[in-house]
Amino acid sequence: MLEFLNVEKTYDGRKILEISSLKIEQGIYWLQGTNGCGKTTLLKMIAGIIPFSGDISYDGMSLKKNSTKYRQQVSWSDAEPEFPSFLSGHELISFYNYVRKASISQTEKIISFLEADKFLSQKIKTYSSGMTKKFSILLAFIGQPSLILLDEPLSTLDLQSTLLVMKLIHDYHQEYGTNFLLSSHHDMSSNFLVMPKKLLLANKNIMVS
Amino acid sequence: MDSLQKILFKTLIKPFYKQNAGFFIFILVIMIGVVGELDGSDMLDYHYALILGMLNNFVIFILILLLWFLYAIKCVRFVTTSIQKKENSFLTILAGFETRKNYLQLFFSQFFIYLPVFLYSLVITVVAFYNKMFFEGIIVFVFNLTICIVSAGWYMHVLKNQDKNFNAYTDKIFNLNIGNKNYGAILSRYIFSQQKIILFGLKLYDCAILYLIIRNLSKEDYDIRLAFILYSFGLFGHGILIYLVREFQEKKLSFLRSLPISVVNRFSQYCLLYGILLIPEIVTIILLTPKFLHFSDALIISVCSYSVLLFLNSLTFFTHESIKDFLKISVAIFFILIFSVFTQTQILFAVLFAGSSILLFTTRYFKYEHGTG
Repeated sequence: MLEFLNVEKTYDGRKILEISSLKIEQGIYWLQGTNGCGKTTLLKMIAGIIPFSGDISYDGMSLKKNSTKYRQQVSWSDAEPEFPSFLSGHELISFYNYVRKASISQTEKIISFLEADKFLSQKIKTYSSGMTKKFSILLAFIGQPSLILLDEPLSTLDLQSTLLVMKLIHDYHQEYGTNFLLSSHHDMSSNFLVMPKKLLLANKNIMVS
Repeated sequence: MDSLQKILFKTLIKPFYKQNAGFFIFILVIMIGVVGELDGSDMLDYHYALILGMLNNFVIFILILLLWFLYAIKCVRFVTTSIQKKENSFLTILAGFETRKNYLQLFFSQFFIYLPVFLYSLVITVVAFYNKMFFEGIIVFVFNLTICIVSAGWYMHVLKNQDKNFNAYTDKIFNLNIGNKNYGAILSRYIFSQQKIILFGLKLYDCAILYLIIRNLSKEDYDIRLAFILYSFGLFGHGILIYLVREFQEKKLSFLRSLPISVVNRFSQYCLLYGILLIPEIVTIILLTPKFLHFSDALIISVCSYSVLLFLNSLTFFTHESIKDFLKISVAIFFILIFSVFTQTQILFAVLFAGSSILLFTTRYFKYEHGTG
């Protein structure tokens, strides 16, 4: 369960988000909202990438108090991911495997499922935007985190990759009970085998529908 | 030089030396400029002793062969990548030539790329023969000749199989665990691969200043203050590098903050990074101690350098919005350091810098947000 307690995010004195108290149960969630409403900011806050006041906890683990354990459970994929161009995909995967204490065989399964093995030996600078996106999603699954945050997971992906990512999300939820929070302007409901629950971000707050 | 040799020279040999110019100058400075005269004897005597040491010690001998082998892989990777570059796709015409001619052209390309090692190995062979160590001499010569012969054969194979990713094999050797376990290694690679000119300039300046000034101090007028002050300029030049590393992190490694790595571990990554970065200065200091530099001063310079870099790094988690602002703060710290030199309180300030860097880092790391200062 994802829990927000007195969460506030301010930029230049302007309040962007204000969530006094909210609990989000397990499941696959589709975060909706207009451009600039703070979806990416919210995901980055949950991922522990940007600071905010208040606290967020996942399954009782506080982001502020149990920083490392919390991050072991929560992973994130950026809307417009960027990685060091001089590294190869394999190198970054090895780094993730080590940091996230991942099972190598599980990582290899994801690689194979997403059909990413063809390009991972190449340097990241040779990747197209679609390949980079797919790679970023792949990294988010490494180490079997319990909550995966995917910011615009379908943007720049071709149809085949979109279907693969959707299937992976569905399978992980079914097999391992992995929870997902997806932000997207695409109609996610038409892509899923399981209908995602909707979260609406408006007026600086989240509403569960 | 026929037209084909000219093409190979411009597409393979020249770019190789251009890309590795910094590396060669650094090796040259270390081998001739710094190491050569330190023991009081002249450069030739020093290298002669070095070669004899290598030939007489089996472990060092094997290590040197291993180093040459790694250098050969570096050359092979470069040529393989160059041959497979889109803009060099015209090189496939080589495959159409008679095999013998084709091989010879590639052999000479490899020979020129491998020339620095080959020449040094020839000197070693001559020294070995002169000292009646025929077996060692032959091994050295045959080893390096074999590298050139095999490499040329490999290039022919690459030319005939342009679509294969050959470097995937050597990636396993070169990238073995580098960056696999810590991001300090990723940051090091960023500096060594993307900022090598700045790095080389800074290292050259720092090492040259330390060596040239301290080496010429006489026992009667021993005073390292001038050397320390001039050296501090270079130290603060590192501010640019530190700033660029932080920029790189914000742009390309933003995912790091979402990973389960403790703050202490994160700080240790920077300690590792700046420790690696200071190796040339530390080596120079070691070479100068104790003959030209007192142990206490060697310690002061080393500790100050390290703590200042760590402090500057931690400052980037406080503010690094513009390089101008960051350098202003760096200059202020530079004056503090100068003050410490004249008041002989460098160790005190070094401890203060180190302590502050830990405090700043641990309190600011997760609170800092790029773009909000």
